[in-house]
Amino acid sequence: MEITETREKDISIFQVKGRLDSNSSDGFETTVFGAIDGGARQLLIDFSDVDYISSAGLRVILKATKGLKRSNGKLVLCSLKDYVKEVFEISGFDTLLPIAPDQKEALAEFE
Amino acid sequence: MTAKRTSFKLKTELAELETLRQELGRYGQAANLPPKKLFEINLVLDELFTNIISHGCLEPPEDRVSISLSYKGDQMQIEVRDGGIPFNPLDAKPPDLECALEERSVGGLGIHLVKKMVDAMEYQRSGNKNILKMRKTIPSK
Repeated sequence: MEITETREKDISIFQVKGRLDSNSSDGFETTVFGAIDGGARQLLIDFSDVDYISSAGLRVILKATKGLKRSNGKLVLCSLKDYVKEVFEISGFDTLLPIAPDQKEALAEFE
Repeated sequence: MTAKRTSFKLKTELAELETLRQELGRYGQAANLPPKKLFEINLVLDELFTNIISHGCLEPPEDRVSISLSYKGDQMQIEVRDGGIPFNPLDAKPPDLECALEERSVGGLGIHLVKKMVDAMEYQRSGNKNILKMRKTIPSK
């Protein structure tokens, strides 16, 4: 798994590439919470290159969503592949946080 | 029609999720499985394997988790055997998917995903082994 971080105004954008399973979720968590601990409050995670997610990846998303909500921040996801999106839906996560079809609409969620 | 079969063993460490992915990739090609179904099977076996590693109290490196798959007609039979402590996923409490964000947890989510991705499950405790048999309908391409 690779994660690239960019910044657009106050929004931290993470481009994740690869598989989010119990092998990679620790690295994912460290990166996301590194940003939150560093003061980031608006996070966008782009899933266009995520081929796979298990409950270990969902755990990090849930933890980040909760943490950001407590500090008046926001997490938005975008560009989920169909299979990956289905995992979010089956888990009831699609109602917990905004999931946008692409980065442009995801950025609009912060306005 | 002959069944397309495979079986393999995984060491009891999480790094073996990569072996699982590779084994399933090869099998998916040989059995001509649709990518979406292969993804679902990978997720099922990932969640079960991760659960066994996290809660099964196995003793690496001697213990192994055995996985076998057999596909015939439109039926995929999946079997997982492990020597961990008794665990019947059929009895696992379903997670509450309706509660508010603050109360939401991911406990039980893995098994919930497994149940949603297969059509039937059967659990047996045989000697010191957990044997989980699953069936999934996969229309051939």
